[in-house]
Amino acid sequence: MKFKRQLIKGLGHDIVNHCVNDILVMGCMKPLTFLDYFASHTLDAETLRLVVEGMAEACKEVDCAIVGGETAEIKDT
Amino acid sequence: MQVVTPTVLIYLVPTAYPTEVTNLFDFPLSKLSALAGSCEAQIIPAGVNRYFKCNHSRTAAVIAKGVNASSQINQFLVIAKSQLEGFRWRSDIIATNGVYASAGVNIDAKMTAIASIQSSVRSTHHKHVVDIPNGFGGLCRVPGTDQIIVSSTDSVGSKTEFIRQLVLRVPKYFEEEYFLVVSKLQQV
Repeated sequence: MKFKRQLIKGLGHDIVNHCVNDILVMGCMKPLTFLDYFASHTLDAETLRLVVEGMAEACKEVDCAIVGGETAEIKDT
Repeated sequence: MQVVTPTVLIYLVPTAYPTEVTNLFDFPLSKLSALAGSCEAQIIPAGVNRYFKCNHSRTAAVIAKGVNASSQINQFLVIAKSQLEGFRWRSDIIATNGVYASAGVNIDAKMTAIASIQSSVRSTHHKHVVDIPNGFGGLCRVPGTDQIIVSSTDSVGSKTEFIRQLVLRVPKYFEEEYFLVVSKLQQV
């Protein structure tokens, strides 16, 4: 379970750094803000919390602030 | 979670919105009442309730009630087709309590989950962030200037499903008039 939680947190880490990389290659050395977007079939509070915790850790490493976000639940059609 | 009647919410705004402020008393409330009476709708003037905000005195919202998606859509069409001089429907804001619930989305659970991530999110705020609670956008000062960047993210989420049902169930309306609704949306 601990491993699973660590993996989910890692997702948050990864997405922040994906975005930071994209910004860096555009020539901007200082990303200021990050907006999260979390879409799922049914929102799972624990998963959201872990992903955002991971995002927050990664953001703090590069001194980038999470200033907004959005969650969406998209059901099967 | 509170059990609610499925509803469709559409907003009515003055044609000149948002550049021109209109007092709520200028709203064609009697016409709206008649409209509401003809299709089991409920008018919400400016104000806030549990799920939706209608927080400008120049807007009013109409909720079309229906016991199921098909009925909601019929009520939606009755209202959306009604013309009121000087006003237009903002059908882009069709966010509803009942539609979310009938689409299986639990708003209360969502708000609780969002509350639980607040401390993580706040821990990332550096000195440039301008702290505003519950804003529609995040504010960040641009270092070395006196300017502020406002950023916001959003998604249409389960409204895509509502639109899909609307299209499936009322294809004729979709072809002829739905694009009118969409074009009104784009003017806003």
